[in-house]
Amino acid sequence: MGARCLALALVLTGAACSKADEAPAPPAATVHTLRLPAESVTMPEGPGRGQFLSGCGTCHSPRYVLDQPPLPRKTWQAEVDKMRTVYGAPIAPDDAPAIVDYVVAVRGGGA
Amino acid sequence: MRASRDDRRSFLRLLAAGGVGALAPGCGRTSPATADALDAGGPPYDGKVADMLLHTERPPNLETPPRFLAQDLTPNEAMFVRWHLSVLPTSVDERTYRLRVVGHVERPLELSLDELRTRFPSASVVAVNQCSGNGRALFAPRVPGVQWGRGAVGNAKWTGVRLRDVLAAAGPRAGAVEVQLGGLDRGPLDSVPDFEKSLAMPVATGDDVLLAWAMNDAPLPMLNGYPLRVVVPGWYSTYWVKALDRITVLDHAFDGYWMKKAYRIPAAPDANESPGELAKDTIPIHRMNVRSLFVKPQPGEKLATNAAYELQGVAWDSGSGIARVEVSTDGGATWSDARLERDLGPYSWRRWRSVWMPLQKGPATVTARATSVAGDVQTTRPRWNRAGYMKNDPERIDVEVL
Repeated sequence: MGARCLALALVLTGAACSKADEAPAPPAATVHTLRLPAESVTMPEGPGRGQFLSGCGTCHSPRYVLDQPPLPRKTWQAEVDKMRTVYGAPIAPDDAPAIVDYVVAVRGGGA
Repeated sequence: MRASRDDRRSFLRLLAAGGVGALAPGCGRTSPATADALDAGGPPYDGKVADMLLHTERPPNLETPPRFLAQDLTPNEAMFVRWHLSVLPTSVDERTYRLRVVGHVERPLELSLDELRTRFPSASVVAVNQCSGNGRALFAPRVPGVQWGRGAVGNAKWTGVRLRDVLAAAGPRAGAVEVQLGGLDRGPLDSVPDFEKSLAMPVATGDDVLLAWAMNDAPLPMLNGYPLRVVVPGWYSTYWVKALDRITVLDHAFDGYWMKKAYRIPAAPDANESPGELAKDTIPIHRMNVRSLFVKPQPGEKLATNAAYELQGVAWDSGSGIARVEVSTDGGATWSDARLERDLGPYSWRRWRSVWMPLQKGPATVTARATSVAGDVQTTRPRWNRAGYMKNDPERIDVEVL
């Protein structure tokens, strides 16, 4: 098991462009890699943006919010609560209201 | 086992720190993604067409462009992508990859891809791969979640081995009731529940349930679950666990988050509820309902009078097959049968077409409804549920006849 983890680690290191002598690049067919494009999305300025970026952006793209339709405040409140209590998002209780305000400003509305 | 997974988890998290790009600083592709990428076509993703519709980058959620509904088999380059957790496998070594079959079994197994290929007979099935939330963006009132249009679906030939055969080799012990399925993806924090699903033993041991390594006769793309994914034909793809690396046979019902809290539908047969009166009883989503989608025309298309126009689309259900597709060019007042195209098997979608000669200028609405061999018809009442699942009311496409 330990060896397997080490092997994985070396392979992953290899994928990061380093030339580790201990881990010569294996034939391409045996290692499949995935390159993901850099993330670049500009979130609108506004109160709570900083708390939003650090509290929500740790786990997922800010674009998740831009992907949403206008949603009522109570829906956004429920989403932020779920992220905190179910997924353990690193959002201090004091920051939650500012984050709700921010996402409501960005994608608030609806029924 | 636990220690190993924890080690790997920590390591992967290190790699993930600072975002996806941290894996390959300096050699990662940089693309000019913007907030408008959903409309403009997102940044290029490995092996995918440039006009995949970008919903989110981390984790990647990419929608198949509508034009691919015109094909029997969705090319691998266009198959939609859906991940839940932001630490997805970015490198898999065939020499070290193992599928573990553990739990309530006589003989726990550790199988390499080669062993899977050589120890068990291979099998193929053509099956629709559809996200539970395909069409969520069309719900009224709107609901939160990835805002899929109509392209969280594709049809492909899947090749691998039967889950049943692999389970038999491990020898489920008396009292085995479910199999728990998990993959290489991980949450960015320990508090995020691993994406794991379960299937009851009678489902898991069905004839057509595969552990697939190939999609359309090519290795699974990393974004679609290389090296191995579960294929449960007829069921929503939430069960089609990607980058599968562990199967745990259970002598009790799995109580993981993604079964007990997420991917649940109202227990009523039509999976309907209303915003003011949410269903108290919910069950895990499971089989797909009967559905048809237009590829031609697209909304807003301009058609000419007195010229033959071919309406086209696809239809599928959960595995009985499609018996009939009817189309209406007068908004549902009168219907006629479309011609069904090649039959690739009961779990495949089936293309249909029907010639229409518009005679009157002005706005028109075309619609289609499919009937399955089992006798289910697309309901005319739009479905609503809080999670935006199982949309299948007949599409109404507004066009302009010039």
